[in-house]
Amino acid sequence: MISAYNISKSFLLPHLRQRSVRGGLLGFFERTTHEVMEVVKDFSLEVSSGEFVGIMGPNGTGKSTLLKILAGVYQPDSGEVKVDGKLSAILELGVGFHPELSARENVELNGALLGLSSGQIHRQMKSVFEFAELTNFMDMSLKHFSSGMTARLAFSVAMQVQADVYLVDEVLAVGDQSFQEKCLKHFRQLKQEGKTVVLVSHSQALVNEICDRVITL
Amino acid sequence: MYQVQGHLWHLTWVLARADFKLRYHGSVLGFFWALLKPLFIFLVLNLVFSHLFSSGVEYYSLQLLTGIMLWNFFAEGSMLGLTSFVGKAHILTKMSFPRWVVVVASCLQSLMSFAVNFFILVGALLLFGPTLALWQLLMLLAYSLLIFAVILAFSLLTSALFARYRDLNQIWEVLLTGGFFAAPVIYPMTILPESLRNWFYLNPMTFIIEHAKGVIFLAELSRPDHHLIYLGVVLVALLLGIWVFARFQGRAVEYL
Repeated sequence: MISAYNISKSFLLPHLRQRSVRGGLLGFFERTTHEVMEVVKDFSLEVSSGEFVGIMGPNGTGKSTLLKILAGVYQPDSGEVKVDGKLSAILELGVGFHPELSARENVELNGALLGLSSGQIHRQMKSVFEFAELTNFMDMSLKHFSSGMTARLAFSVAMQVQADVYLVDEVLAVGDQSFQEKCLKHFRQLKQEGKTVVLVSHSQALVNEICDRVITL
Repeated sequence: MYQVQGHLWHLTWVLARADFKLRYHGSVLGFFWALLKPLFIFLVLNLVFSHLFSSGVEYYSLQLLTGIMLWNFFAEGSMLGLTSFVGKAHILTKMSFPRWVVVVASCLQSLMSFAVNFFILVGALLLFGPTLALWQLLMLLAYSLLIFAVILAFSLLTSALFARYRDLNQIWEVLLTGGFFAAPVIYPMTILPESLRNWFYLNPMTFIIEHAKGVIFLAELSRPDHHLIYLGVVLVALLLGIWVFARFQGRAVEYL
């Protein structure tokens, strides 16, 4: 389902970067020195259909960058990524959420960003709020939500996405005990349905439970 | 992830609508600000300049209003488009949908704001202006859509580059301030000396505002050959914009 061969990705250290037209023009005349940070180095990964792969490792080892490359947010400097089937990348919950918009409008916005059609969103609207246990708050603006309520809503929307391959980054780090159990249940269900998942996590327990294979960076 | 084109248009629309709503959110007068801002500028300029120009120009106030409404569409739309890519950094770094969506959404948002102004302008023209035929109003609409195309081309050209060159918006702000006076908004084109006039056409809005005023107030559509050239230039700019955007969008995300 996912094949990645010899991916490398480096970033220039940002504080030395020339970001203005003046800097860009000067750059023609004087070479600026910069440090190159190679975040992902010659990485290869093969994930077969129905497999759950966990990616672990300390901070700053390129887990999220790797996931962003697989998701197509970043382009690798070298190497090749191929994904078969419909891909859904959940790098963060509630992308595009805005505190001033109502919960319903946020669900529409976030759902559209996740690739749901307007028909799908309107059909699922009720079940999204039922699952998040927020049915009474549909038209309240998001700024009045507690962070837990926001997280529940965001996860409920993300659950609506039907894909073959899921890339998930640290989604379970938020939320209370019961919310985490709900997430776990959802992952188990995805597994039963034979979906493919690449999961970045710091939780050894979670990875042990649902992943078939663990890659440590 | 986004094979179906319909999803993308839906996404574009949802983004544009949400931003339109947010822009005027929380203010008592809501989206009437979209209207009041150019009207206020109009009132001030009209107070000052109508005495200066009123002798030789018929319907000076309405001409000024037409110019301001069209210019305002261009100024706000281009500024919004320039910053559209960077402004959506939080989404672009987390999602991998085609990046043109945020640029088109910003142009659409500007069009929505302008739509309100357009109806006010047409209302004012019908109430206080010369008798207008349908073709004149349709041409005004066509010029407005042409401005939309210019905004879109400009946004595609600059929005991804702005991620890298963060002072482009400062430069553009200065150019816009100058551009307002270098287009026949306050004054008629005829007060400019012949020898200088051609330079003013470097400002993309000069042509549109001059001819929009000509169509409405003189009921004449002059120089169809110039119209064709202008259309051609806009088309080339659009294609160039698409090329530049496609070339820089991928790397631009890393500068966000």
